Amino acid sequence: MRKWAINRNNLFLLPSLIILIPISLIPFLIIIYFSLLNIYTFNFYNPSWAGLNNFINLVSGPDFWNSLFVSGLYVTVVVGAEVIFGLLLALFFNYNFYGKSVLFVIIMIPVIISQAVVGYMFLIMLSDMFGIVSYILSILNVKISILGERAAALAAMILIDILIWTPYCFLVIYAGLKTVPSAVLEAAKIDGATKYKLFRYVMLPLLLPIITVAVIFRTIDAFKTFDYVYIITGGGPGTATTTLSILIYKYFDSGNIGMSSALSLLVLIMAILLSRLYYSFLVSRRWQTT
Amino acid sequence: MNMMTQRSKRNLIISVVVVLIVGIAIGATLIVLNPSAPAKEKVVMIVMSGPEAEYIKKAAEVFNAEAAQELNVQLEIVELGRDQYFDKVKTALLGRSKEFDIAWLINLDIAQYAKAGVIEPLDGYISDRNSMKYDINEFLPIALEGVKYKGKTYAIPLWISTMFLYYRTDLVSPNEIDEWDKFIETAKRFTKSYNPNSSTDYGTTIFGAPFVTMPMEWYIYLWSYGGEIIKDGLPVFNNPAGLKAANTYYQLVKHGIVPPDWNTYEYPKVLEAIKNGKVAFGIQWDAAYFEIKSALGDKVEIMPPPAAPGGKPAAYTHTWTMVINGASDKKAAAFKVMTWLTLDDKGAQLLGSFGLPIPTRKVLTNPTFKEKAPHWEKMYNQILNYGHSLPVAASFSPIQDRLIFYLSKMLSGELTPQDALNKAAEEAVNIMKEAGEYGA
Repeated sequence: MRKWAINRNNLFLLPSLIILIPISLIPFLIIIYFSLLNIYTFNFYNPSWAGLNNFINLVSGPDFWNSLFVSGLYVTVVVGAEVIFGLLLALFFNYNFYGKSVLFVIIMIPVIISQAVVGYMFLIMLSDMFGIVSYILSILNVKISILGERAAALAAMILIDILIWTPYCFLVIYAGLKTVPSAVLEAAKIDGATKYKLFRYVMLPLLLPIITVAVIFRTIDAFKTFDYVYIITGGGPGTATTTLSILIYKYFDSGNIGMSSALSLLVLIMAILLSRLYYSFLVSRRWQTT
Repeated sequence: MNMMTQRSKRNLIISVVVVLIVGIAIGATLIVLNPSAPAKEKVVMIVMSGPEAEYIKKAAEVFNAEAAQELNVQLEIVELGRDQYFDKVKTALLGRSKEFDIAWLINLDIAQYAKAGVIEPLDGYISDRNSMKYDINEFLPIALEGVKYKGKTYAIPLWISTMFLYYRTDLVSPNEIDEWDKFIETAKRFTKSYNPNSSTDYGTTIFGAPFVTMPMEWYIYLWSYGGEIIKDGLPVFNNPAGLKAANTYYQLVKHGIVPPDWNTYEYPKVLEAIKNGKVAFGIQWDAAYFEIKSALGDKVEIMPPPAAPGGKPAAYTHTWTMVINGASDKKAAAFKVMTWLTLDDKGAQLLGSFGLPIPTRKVLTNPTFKEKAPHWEKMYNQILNYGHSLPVAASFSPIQDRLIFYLSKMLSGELTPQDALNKAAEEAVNIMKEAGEYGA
């Protein structure tokens, strides 16, 4: 009887498997195959075998390490900032105040707008000669080319990401906050917990699973950031904003499908490892009871 | 009340069913009454945004109104942005997708797709009198040569493109910008950081965005210094002439005579900078002529790009072409569309009347075209006197893409000009070996 129940339950996986296998698993296997070939546009149907050469060329050249550094910095800063700001916003919205629902809608707007639209919007706004941001900076006598200077361009991309994705983290954490039982909070208050202790020792441990989810989703997503960075800077100046996703694209754009596939695989492995690391850290009992 | 609701629902369902039955019956009757009317084949053409896309869309309207019936073909235009166009074409062709039948390709891309076997050779259609109603030799020989790979014709030329040096006649004279050294010095004079009284913010612009147009601009520098991209099956752009060209290109950024966010400058931003009087002169595509002229009138003129000191200018030129997707089920219909647009009196003259320089004698000598495109004579002379052709090689397109990567690094100061060129040449060798073109 039990065995039948398990099999019947497994049947419920079928619809998602039917979708996932063709759109996810098969391309994944193809990527593995391509990564082992010298495959370009011109020899797409007749490529030669490369073995692990694509991987070796990647890790022995400077471009991979530069992009890994850019992506690492990018992911660390944006995920950290988005989760912190998202948490602060969620705590703020936990109070009742006038205009809360209107403010909620306004805050969610960046998530709704397509990333490509965001890209073109900021490309115009940050343009040195035509952009409003540069105009305001020039009035303030701040002489900086936001998209033309390496550090400024990367900082701008990070700020844009934070602006777009903080609402997402806020939404997830806020939903989690609403599930914290009020009885637990009341009990803590009766026991004399201060606001800080209430947050640190009651709310935060209860929110950790949902924060973990937000961090994992955002880490994976931030690793894949492409659209607006490519539209605004194209990965430049030079390789200053060339994240791993943009480097993958640049190899693909060059027709070097083998290198592009090999790098895609490496990024996938890194994203999985990083997510696993986060998960282990955030749900460890040591963190919860410290 | 409940009964009323139930009755309303029932009535609604009955009404929907009746409408469906009547609709199906009318449709079926029309088909039975007109069994001989064959359905027109719908040919989809994918095009890249820009002025030419607008011309083609207008031409498609005329085609569908006046030629579709006779040719039994309906033409649909799908327009894509400049950023995504080349990727879309690449993935669709390599994936043998049937989502479009005709694509626009720059002639330098033809070889790689021809070698991959994903675009249709057209010789069979050209020699078949049933499908080819026109004389293919109407095209200029140089245009026809540019669409061939290993002796086979893979595309129909659509228009010739080149780059001019646009300059403000009220600010500079041609002899101040006809050589690279003078070009840089004059640009300083029109850059506010050098000359606070300058009427423009910067002297000039650059195609600095990591896009296909960047190396195209750089080739002008390369050729003007006597360099070549590939010679005798070897990449030679890193030789002394190439280094001079790279150094000069880098000077524009180093001296700050181009906008500081040069790395985001592509066709639209270069156009805006010239049109809005933010720069005194700049290299830009011929396609921008009408827009710049309409904005600045007599205050702007065109001339060939600068030359090396004491040398001869060089002009970049390529042909935009139409190719047939190898996976298409409507190849014959697609061929009819392509020849109508470029060789038919109606289609070709219509496109010509918009100012599109289809490289055929009929269009280029047509008074309407000459009137619409007064710059053509200069353009023609520029191509004739200073034009350089790109290598016809399957490996060329990926080599060019690596040049984009390394020239970007050079302009940003990550690599020296020599290192950037050497790195690009090193990768070019590997690509050429893979394509079997190294030393060939």
